[in-house]
Amino acid sequence: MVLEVTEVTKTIPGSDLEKPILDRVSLSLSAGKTLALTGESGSGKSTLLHLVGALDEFDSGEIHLDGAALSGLNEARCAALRRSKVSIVFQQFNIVPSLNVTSNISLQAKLAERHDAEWEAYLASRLGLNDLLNRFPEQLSGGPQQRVAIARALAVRPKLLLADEPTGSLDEETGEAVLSLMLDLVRETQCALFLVTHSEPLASCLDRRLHLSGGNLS
Amino acid sequence: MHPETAASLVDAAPTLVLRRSKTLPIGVAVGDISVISRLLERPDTLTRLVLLSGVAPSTAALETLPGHIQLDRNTTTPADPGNLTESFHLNLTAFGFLSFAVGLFIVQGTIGLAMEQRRSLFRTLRCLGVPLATLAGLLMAEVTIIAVLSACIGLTVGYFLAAALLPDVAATLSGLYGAQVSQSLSLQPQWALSGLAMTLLGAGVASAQSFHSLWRLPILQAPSTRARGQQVVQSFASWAFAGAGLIAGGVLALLLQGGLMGGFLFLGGIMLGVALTLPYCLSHFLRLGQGMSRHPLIHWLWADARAQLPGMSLALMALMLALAANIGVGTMVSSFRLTFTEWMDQRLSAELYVTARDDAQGAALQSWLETQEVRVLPIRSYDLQRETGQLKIYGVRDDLTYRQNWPMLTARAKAWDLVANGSGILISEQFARREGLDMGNHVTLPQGWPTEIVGVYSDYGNPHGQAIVSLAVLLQRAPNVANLRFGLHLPSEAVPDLIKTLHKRFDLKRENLVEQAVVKQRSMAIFDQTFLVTDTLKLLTLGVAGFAIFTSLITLWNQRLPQLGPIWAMGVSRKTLAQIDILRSLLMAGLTALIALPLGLVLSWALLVVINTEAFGWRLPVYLFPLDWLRLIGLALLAALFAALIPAWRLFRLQPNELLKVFSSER
Repeated sequence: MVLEVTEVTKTIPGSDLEKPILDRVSLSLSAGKTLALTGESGSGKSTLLHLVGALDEFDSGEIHLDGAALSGLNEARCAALRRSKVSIVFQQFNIVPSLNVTSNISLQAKLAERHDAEWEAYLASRLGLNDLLNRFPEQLSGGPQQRVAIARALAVRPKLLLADEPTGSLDEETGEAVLSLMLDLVRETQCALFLVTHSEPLASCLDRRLHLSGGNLS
Repeated sequence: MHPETAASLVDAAPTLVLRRSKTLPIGVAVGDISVISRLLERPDTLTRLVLLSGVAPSTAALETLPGHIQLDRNTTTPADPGNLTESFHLNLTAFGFLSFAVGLFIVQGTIGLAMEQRRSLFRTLRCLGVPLATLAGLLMAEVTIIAVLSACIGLTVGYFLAAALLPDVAATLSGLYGAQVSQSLSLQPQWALSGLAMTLLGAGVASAQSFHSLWRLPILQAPSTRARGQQVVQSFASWAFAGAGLIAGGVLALLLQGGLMGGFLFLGGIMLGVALTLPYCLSHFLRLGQGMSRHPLIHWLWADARAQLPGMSLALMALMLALAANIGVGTMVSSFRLTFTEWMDQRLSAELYVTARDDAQGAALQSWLETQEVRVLPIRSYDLQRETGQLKIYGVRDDLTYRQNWPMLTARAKAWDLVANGSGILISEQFARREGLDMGNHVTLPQGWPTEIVGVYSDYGNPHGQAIVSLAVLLQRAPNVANLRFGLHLPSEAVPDLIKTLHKRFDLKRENLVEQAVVKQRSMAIFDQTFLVTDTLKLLTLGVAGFAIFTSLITLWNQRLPQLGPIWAMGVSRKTLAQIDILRSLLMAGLTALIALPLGLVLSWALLVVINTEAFGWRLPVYLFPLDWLRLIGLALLAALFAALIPAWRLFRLQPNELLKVFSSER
C-alpha cells in the first residue's frame, strides 16, 4: 500500500468552535491506483492532501507513506520524504519563478538524486514543452505552467502524486487536456494519484471517489 | 591668578587685592607691570617687551638698539585657517554627502516596502473610483509630512552630534594646520533651511521610483514580482552605460581640469559611476555562477540571488560605496601613518633636543657639550619672506646623520657634498611644488645664497617652505641667526644622566630638553587624534549600509514566498531554506566587496596622490594593507549576516500554512 490514512484528526486553531476539520478520517491507496476526493469549499480536502504530503501536522491518528509513519517525524525527515516519495501539483504557483522550464522540470529529481535526462526529455515531449524549455514561468500562460508542474512532479518518479485542484485555474478545454495528459502519464509510471477536486465530472474519470463533508469521508 | 596660587600668597602679600580665575595655570600671576616690578624687587629690570605688529617702532629705531637689548623677530607667519582648512571642509562635505547618499538608499528601501505592502490596497481604492492623481497626491503629502518631521528630528540630533564631534574636529584642524577653532557651536538659520531642503529633495529622489511604479500599476492585475524585476534588470544595462559615462567624465576632469576640484570630480565620477555599473556586473557574475554550479540547490541559490538583485541593488550600491570609502580612507590613513612614522625616524635621529634661553647660553652650552662625548648638531635657521609664502633656510653641519637619515625624495649623486661645499641647496617638497621647482633647477634667492637645487626632501605636516644649506653659508649670509637649538647624538642609555647634568649646570627647564621618544609619542598622539572624526564617519557609513541591506531584505520578504514555497514543497526544510537565505546575503555582499576593493584602492590613490598633493603640497606613497582589507570585508560580511538574520529567523519560524498560502489565491 502506498498510502494508508488511519483515524486522522485535524483541528485548525481559530476555526469555528475549534471543531475538527478532519474527524477520524481513514483511507488507503495502492500503487497505480487513482483516487478523487471531492467536497465543498472549506470542507478540508486540501488540508487532508497537505497532511498526506507531509506538509502539515495532524492532531491524532497515523499516516503511512510507502510504509513510513509520518507522526513524530521532524521537519528534516518530512522534507526527505517529500523529496523522494511524493510529488505535489497545486492549483497554481507550482514552479520556481527564477528558473527556466528545463531547470524547473529537473529540480525535484536532482534534489532526490534521481535525475534522468532522457526521462525528463520524454516528459517534456509528451507534455508539449519542447519549444518552451528556455522560457521562464512568467513567460508562460496557465496551461503550460501546469504542464511544467506535472513534468516536474513526475520527473522524480514518485510513489504518490498529489494534485490539488490542478486544473482549477484553467479554462475548461485546457483543464481537460492537462488532466488527460496527467492521467496518461500516471498510468505509464504506475504511481498512485490522490486528486482533490470539486468537479464531479473530473472525479468520475478516476478509479475511486471519496466525498469529504463535515470532517468525515463517505 | 588661579585660586590655588592665591591661597599660597595670602600671607606673603596681605595688602594685595587678588582676583581669582581658574583660566590661568597654577603658579602664574598676571598684574600691572609696576606692581609686579615692586613685588619682585626689580624696579628697573624688564625681561622682555613684546611689540605687536602695527604698533612697532620704525625699523631704523630697532636697528639702533643698545647692545644689551637683543631683538628677536618673530617672522613665523601664522597659517590662514580659512585657506588651509578649505580642503578639510571639502573632505567633510564629501563624507557628509556620502552618508546622505547611503541614507537615501535606506529611505528608498523603506518607501519601497510601504508601497509594496499597500499594493493591493491601492488597486482596491482605484477599483472603488479613487483617481490615480488623488492617490499619488495623498501619498506625496504623506512622504512630505514624514520628511519634514524627520528633518526636524535630524536637525536636533545633528546639532547635538556636531557639539559632541566639535572637540575632535578642532583637534583635527589644530593637528593638521595649527588652526585654532572656537569650541562653541552656533546654529545658523540658513543651515537649518538647507538641511530641510536636502531632506525634502532626498525624499523626492528616494521615492521617485516607487511613485513611478504606482503610476504604472495596472488597475486590475499587478505584474508579477519577477516581471517587475525583469523591467529593472533591463534597466541595469542603461545604468551601466550612464556609469561608464560618469567614470569617463571623472577621468577627463582629472586630466583636463586637474587641481583639487578636478580630483574631487574624478572621485565623485568614479564612485558614482562604479556604483551604477554594480548591478550589471553582479547580474553577470551571478549568471556565471549559476551556469557553473552543479548542485540543484546551489544552482537555485545563484538564480534566486539574481532574481533578488532588482530589490537589493540600491542597498548593495550603498554597501559598495561604504566599503570603498572605508578601504580608500583606511589605506590613506595607514599609508600616511606608516610614512609619517618612517619620516619621523629619519628626521628625528638625535636622541635629545636642547633649547637654550639665549644666544650666550647657547654658545656656552655648545662649548661644554663638545667637550663631552656628545655629537652636537646646531639647528639654526633664517626666515625669508617670498611671494609664495615663508621659506625657512636651515644651515646644517656636514654630518653622517644627515647623509644617512635625511628623507630624500630625489637627490643628485653626492648631494650632501655639494651642500657642504656651499654650491648646492636642498629644498622641501612643499616648497618645490609651490614654486614649480625640481632637482637641477635654480631657485631665486638673494645674492650669495646657493641656488642650484641638488635634492628634494619630504617635510610632512609643515605648511611653510623649507630649505637646507651648509652651516657656513648660513652664517655667512645671516651671521646673527639665533644659536639656541641643538640636536644631540649620544648613546640612549646616557640620555637621562645628561638631562640631569644640563638641568643642574645650565638651569634649563623641563620644556627646554626634549627626548626623541617623547617627540615621536606626542606627534603620533596628535596624528591619531587628527583622524578620529574619519574613523567615526567610516563606521557610520558601514553601519548605515548594513541597515540598508536589512531594510531591502525586509522589503523583499513578501516577494520571497513564491520563490520559497515550491522549493519547500519539493522537500527542502525551512532550516535549509533559512541557511540558504543567509548564504545568499553573504554571497551578494561578498561579490560587492570584491568590486569595492579595487574601487577603494583607486579612491586611496586619488586621495593620496591627487587630493593630498593639491591640498597640502606633499605627495604620500601608497602602501597596501591586505589584512585591513580582509578585516573590512569581514565587517561587510558581518553586516550582511546581521541584516539577513532576522528575515532568515522569520523564515525558519514560518508556519507551514503560511507557505501553503503561496499555492492558493490567499496571498
